[in-house]
Amino acid sequence: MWLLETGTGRGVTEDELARLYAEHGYLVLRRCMAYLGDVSRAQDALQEVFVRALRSADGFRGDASARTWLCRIADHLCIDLLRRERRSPFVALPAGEGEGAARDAELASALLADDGEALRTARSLMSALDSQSQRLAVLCFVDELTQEEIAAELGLSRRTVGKRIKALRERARGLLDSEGTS
Amino acid sequence: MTEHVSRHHLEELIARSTRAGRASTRQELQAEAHVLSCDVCTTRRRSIETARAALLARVPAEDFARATLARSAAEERSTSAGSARRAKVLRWSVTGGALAVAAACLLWIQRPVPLAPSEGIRFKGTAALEVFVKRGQRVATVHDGEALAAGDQLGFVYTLSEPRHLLLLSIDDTGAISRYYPVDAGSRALPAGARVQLELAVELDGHRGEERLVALFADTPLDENAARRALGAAFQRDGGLTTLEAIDVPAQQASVWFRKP
Repeated sequence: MWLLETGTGRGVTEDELARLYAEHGYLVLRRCMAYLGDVSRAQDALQEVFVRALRSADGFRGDASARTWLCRIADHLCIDLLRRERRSPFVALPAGEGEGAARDAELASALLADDGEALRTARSLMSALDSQSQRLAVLCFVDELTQEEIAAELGLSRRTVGKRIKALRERARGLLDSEGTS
Repeated sequence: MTEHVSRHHLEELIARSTRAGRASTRQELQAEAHVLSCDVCTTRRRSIETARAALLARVPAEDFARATLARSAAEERSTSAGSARRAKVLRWSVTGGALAVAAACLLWIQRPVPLAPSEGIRFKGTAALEVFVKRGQRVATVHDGEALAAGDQLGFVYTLSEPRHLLLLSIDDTGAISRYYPVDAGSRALPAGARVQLELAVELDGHRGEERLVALFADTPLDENAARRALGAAFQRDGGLTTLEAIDVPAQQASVWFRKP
């Protein structure tokens, strides 16, 4: 864990940051995609996650792995973005046609080829859930954590997590069914 | 181990192999052994690795690290400079009445500005413009299709992760183009900053109809005449301002339109 080794964000070298990104960048991107549903926004969020990680590196005490730490930052960032989006809807620009847009499209295809069903399920729920349930949906459908692992992460009882997951699955099924028929 | 390895543990496994680490716990060793003997998990692992490689091809690690460190440093530099201006924005909102003030209409820019090769590859920088309307004591966000009135005042707040030049144009439903910002000709360089209010307040006149604001952010000064021509051409091409899409200018762009019934 390079952050444990350096102990401070201010001392992070380019090589160390590159290593952290190479190791965890993709899973952070995929997570952001599950929340935001758009590869371009997910890429912006990915960079913001690492900027926040640099800023708060001093506060990283090593009580979690770098992966868990980055995922928590991503969760808070994306949930905040979704909250702001509810208050003032995101104004999407039409997709570009240049080389960058084509490469974004390639990246989106690769993301969806990697268990796109889980991404679609999580994303379908986002607009209908409160922030804790949004996180629960990602831990459940994207990370595939066990109920025990989710309970530990969210500080809830396993029983409560079990009930909420059951409700989430039913809700997701309903939403995906209605999307399929519309 | 009879059950398949979860996504979380597969990702841990891949991350560990990236740093040439070895499994150390019993659970990790079991997961590794299971993947080696399970077609389903092997296939999943490959699909994760393929997608991961696609990201690293799209944004190589060295470029990402360089751009992220630069952005972080730019944001730190702008924090102190921007704090006074952010306070001004807040005062404006509060005196406008507004506990009921809606959050800003964020015109997040999604396309990267084309860069000269000498500048290196920059990861997607953040650029956003928020548009507010002040009517009497009330301040609210301007959304697409919003009905505004003569006398309404527009205010603008930007967020930039890197310094950029801004040109803010408007086009009405007759195709007439006006410059909102900067007040004098051309585009104006803006420092990086978070939620900085533009020194600009526009009071709408009595002209009725529709109007679209188009914000152009670029690394280099913008040619206003070229931007006006491109905006006019897009207006013709797309059949009006409500259906207007991106204009042919080498800049990140975002827009919002409103009505004056």
